[in-house]
Amino acid sequence: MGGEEMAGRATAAASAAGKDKSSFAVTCSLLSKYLKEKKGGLLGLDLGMPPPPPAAAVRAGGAFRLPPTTMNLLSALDAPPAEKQNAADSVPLSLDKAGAEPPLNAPTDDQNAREEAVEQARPLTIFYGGKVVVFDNFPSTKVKDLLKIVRSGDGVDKSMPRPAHNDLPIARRNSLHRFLEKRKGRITGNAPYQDSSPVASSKKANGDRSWLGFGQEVTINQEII
Amino acid sequence: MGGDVPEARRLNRAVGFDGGIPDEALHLVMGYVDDPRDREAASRVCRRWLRVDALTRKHVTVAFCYAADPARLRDRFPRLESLALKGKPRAAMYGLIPDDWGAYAAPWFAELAAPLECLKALHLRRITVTDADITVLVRARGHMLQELKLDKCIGFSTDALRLVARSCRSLRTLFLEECSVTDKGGEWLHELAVNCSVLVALNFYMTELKVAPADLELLAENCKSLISLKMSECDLSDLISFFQTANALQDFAGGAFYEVGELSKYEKVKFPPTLCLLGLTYMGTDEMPIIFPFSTKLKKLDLQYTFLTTEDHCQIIAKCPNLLVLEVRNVIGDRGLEVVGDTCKKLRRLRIERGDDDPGLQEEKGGVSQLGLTAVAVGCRELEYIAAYVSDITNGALESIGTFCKNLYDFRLVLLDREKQVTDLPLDNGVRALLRNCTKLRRFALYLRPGGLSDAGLSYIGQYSGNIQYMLLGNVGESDHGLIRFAVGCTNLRKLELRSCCFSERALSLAVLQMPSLRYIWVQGYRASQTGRDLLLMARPLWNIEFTPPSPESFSHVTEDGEPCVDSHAQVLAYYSLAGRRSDCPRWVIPLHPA
Repeated sequence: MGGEEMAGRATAAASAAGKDKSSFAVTCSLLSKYLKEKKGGLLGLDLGMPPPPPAAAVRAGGAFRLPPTTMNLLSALDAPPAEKQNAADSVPLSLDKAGAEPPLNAPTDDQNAREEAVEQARPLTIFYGGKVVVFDNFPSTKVKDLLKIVRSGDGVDKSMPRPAHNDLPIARRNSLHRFLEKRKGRITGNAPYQDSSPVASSKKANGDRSWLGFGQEVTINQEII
Repeated sequence: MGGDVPEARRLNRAVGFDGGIPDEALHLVMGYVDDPRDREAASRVCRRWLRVDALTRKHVTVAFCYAADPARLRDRFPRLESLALKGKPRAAMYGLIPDDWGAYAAPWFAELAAPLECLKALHLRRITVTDADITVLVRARGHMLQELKLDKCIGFSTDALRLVARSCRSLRTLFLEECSVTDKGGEWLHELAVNCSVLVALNFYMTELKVAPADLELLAENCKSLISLKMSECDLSDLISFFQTANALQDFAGGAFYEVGELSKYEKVKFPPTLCLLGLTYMGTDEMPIIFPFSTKLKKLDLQYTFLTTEDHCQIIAKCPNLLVLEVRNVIGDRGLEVVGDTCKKLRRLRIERGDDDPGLQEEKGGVSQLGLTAVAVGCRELEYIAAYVSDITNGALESIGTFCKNLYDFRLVLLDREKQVTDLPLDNGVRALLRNCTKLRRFALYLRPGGLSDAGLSYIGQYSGNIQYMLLGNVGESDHGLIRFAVGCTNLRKLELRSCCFSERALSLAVLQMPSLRYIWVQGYRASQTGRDLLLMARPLWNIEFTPPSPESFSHVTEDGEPCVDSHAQVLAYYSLAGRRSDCPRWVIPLHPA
């Protein structure tokens, strides 16, 4: 709550997020928090929270950004990047069609575990059966137990079926495509602007006209008309 | 700053509680804050700062036109001077999005053209703009318009250009690159030459517009500030007079060499002495020497639309030690890239596009591999942007890029699918090394093939995504697990494009929910259902989900266990929007959410 704590978190977040994190942005966030506290609470008076910015500036994430309301459920993921590793550890394991089942509940002895291992408690997010559950302080000692429970059940579906065929060709950029089509036109000698010098005719390739019009519509140079 | 001043008092002064900063001062200070992210941060401090930001914000980029509401934008930024608007998904540049998909200028011009009294610069990208739209714009803003950029837009004709040319006498920049313009005659250029004497940059490159060389000469005569002309095809020998007159020109692209082997005709072309950015269409081996006299001055060279061989590339690049930007097709080959590494020590941007696949069509056995990439990485330490279509690749090459190219902020690699054998797959370790070491990376694209990147490799991308804001991933990962693990790591990812992947709808939805900064995702080619039902797992307020169902033929294709297989037609587009659901979807796009 105090200024020093905020400043500490700010520097940690700023350095953890990478060298280019704008210190201006961090300072603005600090200032904003200070103002809110000074005015006695979050939605106080005429210095309350600004209205949501236009979508041009809509963005969540980051240690201090006010998360949009849609992000409340995923507050665990707003943790500073230093904790990214732990988030990765708590990846949901079962993506099978499990049907609609009630969400997992935290172990009942969580309370005791929390007191004992309070320094190891970190956020945990579970996706299950189409629902999302977030635990703000899930002790790391319990994570192993949880994983054991999950693994012993359905099991990780290591054999995710590969697609039977995936024949999506790598698409070609329009500008390049047009250029290459025009070049084919010149080589096959069908373009009227090509002169009949020996250099040109010697470069005639297979002259396969079926190449013209392959794929996208060919844009013919207007001089032909 | 005095180190002993208590923090509380310092902050008080900053916010003006003790009779500190008056509004006018705040306006002035805010005026120096240009970076959009800084502006956003400032606007969130308190209502007063929000107000001042709104009044002093000069430029706004709406990264996706359906994410925002024009009226709301107008109300928030009444004094806006410059607006950039992007429409169709990037895939439209690759022919993957039909013209009727959407993204229209009309509602924006209707709401903004008249009320925004300070508007003088407009940049629309991949948007449908009609003649009527331009008329509305010009009527309201013509007298003030300084910059009009229609970038890969469709829907208008040269009639609109004539109107712009006649009405916008303050025009400094007219940009029409790669637009589809209905050509009703070249008078627009004549009008431009006559009326817009302060023109600095004119670009109708990669269009099919036909213009008269005489009008270009007139342009050079009247527009003394012209420093950039990028144009459609026109025989270079017809531009001799233009080049003589436009003696301040720095940037030229386009033209054409129509007569092969007729060097004498083109030898007479004398480029302006200030020219340093160049791209010549259809230039061949015989014509290449016309660049030699001033090659050392060149800072940018575009060879994408030339007919040069690998050897030609080696020869010409060896003469260009001052290049900052080089754009080529992969015919440059590894040999050419070695020359780049040896010669172009100042190179900042390198693009290696995909040439013709078909052998025997004059494309010499080029093709770029880890050898060329490594040579470039080692030789060109200033590189900020690398985009390459490669035929072969190794982890080592990616590691080298990570080691040597510390300034890289944009890296894109596509592994072409012609060669059956690739030296070193999967690329897990190389990708990890590159991402770990290139800490300034903001944009990243990786397009591989099955086996190119394992689930572990995909998780590395997420883990080491750092400050990357945009990614395109194709044919990566092995299963849904990889996608989830990737998503968990991407804290700063704002825009994601996925193509030709093996992921299920469910995994896509769950992955989206994991990425706190994600505001836009586009997917084509994944394990789609007929209805897109599992996409609703990511339903939430302000999040629009649009679905293009798989084609009927592919619906019958299932894998052994009954799961739908990857479909080449199904597309998903999901994005944050304050404008609600789209009201102009074509028939084949289904808005799933809001319902």
